[in-house]
Amino acid sequence: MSNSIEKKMVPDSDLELIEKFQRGEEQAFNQLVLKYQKKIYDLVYRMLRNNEDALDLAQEVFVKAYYNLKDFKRESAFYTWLYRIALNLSFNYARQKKVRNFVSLFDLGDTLPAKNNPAEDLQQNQITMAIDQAVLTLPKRQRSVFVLRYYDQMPYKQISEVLGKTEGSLKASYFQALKKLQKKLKAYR
Amino acid sequence: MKECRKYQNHLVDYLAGEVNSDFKTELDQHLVTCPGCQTELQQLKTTLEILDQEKKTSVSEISESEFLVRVRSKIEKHQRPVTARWIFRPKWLGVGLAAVLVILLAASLFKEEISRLTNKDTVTLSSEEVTQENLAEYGLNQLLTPETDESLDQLYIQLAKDYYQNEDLTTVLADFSPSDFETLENKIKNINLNIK
Repeated sequence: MSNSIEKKMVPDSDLELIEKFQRGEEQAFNQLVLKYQKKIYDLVYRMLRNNEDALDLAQEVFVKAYYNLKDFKRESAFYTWLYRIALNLSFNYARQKKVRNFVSLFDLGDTLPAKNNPAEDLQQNQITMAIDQAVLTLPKRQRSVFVLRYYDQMPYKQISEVLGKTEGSLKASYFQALKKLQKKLKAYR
Repeated sequence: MKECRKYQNHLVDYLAGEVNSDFKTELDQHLVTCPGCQTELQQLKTTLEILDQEKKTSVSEISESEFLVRVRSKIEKHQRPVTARWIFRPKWLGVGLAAVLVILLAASLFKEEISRLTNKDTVTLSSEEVTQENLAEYGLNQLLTPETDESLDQLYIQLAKDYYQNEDLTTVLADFSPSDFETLENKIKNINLNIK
């Protein structure tokens, strides 16, 4: 699991791109966007559970990074920094748009694979919607840990770098998040 | 129960086969003797199976080139001339500036007029009362010099710049290392203790 992430995120290469960008090479920033856009979009989508919002916010993450990359302290890896921006913006965005109370049926339709059996489709839709709503009710830290660990399959060590918490407390948060989801999804057991 | 808590946080990793062999043996032994943890494990397994159904549904694909174009477009939109930004400056900027003005005045008063104030009873002015007339009454009107105005202008520009680069705490927090968070947490705890 850790290998897949480490292969995709090579800090040295990122630093080189950052240095180029800081020297005025705009193209270097484009490369960073191309490299991380999918991961950031997926992360934001899992946090907001809405494709349209996720697309908009993922772009905002990179705009924010663009304006602050000149002051990037290099105390952490670039992706750690980028993930923190994405998570912080997700919570701000969710608060502003109150997506907690809104899950678009049209949006859910986009995420589901087409099947031949309408009954199966309906059931799948219901499960997806129930999971979306359940995830959106998770407290801030639990939701972050759940998304990073379950969907992104990020090792605890890296989650610890992103969220600034110990691995022990992250494991507890992950377990608590799953327990809450378990309660919300008991009808689908 | 306390012993169960020790193991339960690791049940998900146990299901994923991501615990080391020593701990796995220990957990296996505990599970044999603990029906509560066995139930917990089974429930977790079921929950993960439900979640996996949704996980398989892929997130919408995004067009890589279109995404980049949109990011670039947003960046250009943000690079408006400074004058345009001032028109849309946020309301809180005014409040912040008022606070800065009061702090600057207080600092100036303290620094340059300390001897004058020490000869009088303490005088407190609210921010509304800090006017040329009131300052003149205390002989302090000369503090509002062109240099002060210039410093305030620079501060105002810096505040506007900061706002557009950090309109929220996202990037500030992104720079925080785990130790920064711990230090901050300790400071907040100390403040709470002092208040109590």
